[in-house]
Amino acid sequence: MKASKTYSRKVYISTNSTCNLNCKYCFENEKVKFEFNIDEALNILLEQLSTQTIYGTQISLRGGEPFMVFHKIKHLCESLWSQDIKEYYHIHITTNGTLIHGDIQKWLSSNRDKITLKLSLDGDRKSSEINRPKSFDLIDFHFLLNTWPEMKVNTTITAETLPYLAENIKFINSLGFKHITPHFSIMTDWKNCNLGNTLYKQLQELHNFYLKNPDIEPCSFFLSDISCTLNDKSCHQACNSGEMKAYDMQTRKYYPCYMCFPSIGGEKIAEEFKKLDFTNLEELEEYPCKACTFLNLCITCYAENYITRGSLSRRDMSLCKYQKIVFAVLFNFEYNRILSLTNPSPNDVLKMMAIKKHYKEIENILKEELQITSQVEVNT
Amino acid sequence: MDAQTTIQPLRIDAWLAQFQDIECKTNDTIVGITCWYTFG
Ligand code: SF4
Repeated sequence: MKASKTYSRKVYISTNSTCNLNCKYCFENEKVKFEFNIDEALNILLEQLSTQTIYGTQISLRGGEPFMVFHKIKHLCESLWSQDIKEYYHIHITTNGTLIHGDIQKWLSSNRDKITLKLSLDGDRKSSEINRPKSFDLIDFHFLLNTWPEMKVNTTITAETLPYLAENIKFINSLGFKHITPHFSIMTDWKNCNLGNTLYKQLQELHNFYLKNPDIEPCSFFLSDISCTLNDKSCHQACNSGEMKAYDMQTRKYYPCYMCFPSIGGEKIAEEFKKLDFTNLEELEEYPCKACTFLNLCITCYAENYITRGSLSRRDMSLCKYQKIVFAVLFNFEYNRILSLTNPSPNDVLKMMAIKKHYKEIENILKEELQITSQVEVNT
Repeated sequence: MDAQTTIQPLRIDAWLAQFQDIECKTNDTIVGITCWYTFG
């Protein structure tokens, strides 16, 4: 499987708006029934794939739940595969996994080298029931892992599942999934949640778990490269930088990314997106983020910023406290991990330099946000 | 507080001291690894 970062071009195609689940945090604001047209999608893809790139093209099929329209996806993919296309390409589908049984399994299994799935899974049965009722028991984990042992998992954290974060991540690990990306739900009003101490406790549990089990790949909260905080300037790149096209089958138009589709932010905002310049993000940064030590670690969705707060770089300040707690624990984790290494890499040296530069800030975060005072010891 | 979770600044200094030479020698490599920033 090719890492998505290495593709030269990404093409998003919206396949359908329908979904068999009703997740708490779904940001698709339209539940109208829409399904893509196979010939139109095929033409769009053939047009995109007619020019060759260095690292190939990632085609992402996005719903709703794409497997609601399995017969159409099958038809589209098989038509595409039957063409003589010089460009390397690979199909990615993000799914809730609940519809993947019987014929769908058979077809996916025989095409596993041409298609990769990413699973949305919020944790064990209890948390899944909270965020996306009646989904957990419908997922055939055994099939998914057998077919794609390196399958990635997206885990959405809501206020209700945050108290079980560590348990959920460990559970997903125990199923056999190695690559887990947790993220905070953008549909939660974090400001009124007051869950800072709970998050800290959960992350500490994961911190200890990963230190005790160095063979387990930590979830993405613990994988960010803290050495980027040595740079005082913003080095963010928009995720749609490079060659990325998102074709919305509903409006028959291209947008900068699928988050810009009218079905998410409405028609007016979708049109505004087309005129925005995503290339000079450093100039667009705003205070307080512009002056934040963690700016380069603080991944944000520029489209969501624009839809919700009217500016590409205006992050959700109700999440800021939670982000900072994640970064404080990440710095602690890296400190302990690096000290335990016998052969640290040059990058580990840089990370330790970043810890040296920012430990006072970490201390302040813990003091201000959590009233914890003994995290950093000034004397040995 | 569990000692394992405590950042000790003096320990960082001692740890970094071992790598001072390597750091100087490998400055180019380091810049190469994390290409988005320059070394002070
Ligand atoms: S949201 Fe908070 S943590 Fe993120 S860059 Fe802005 S100020 Fe820093």
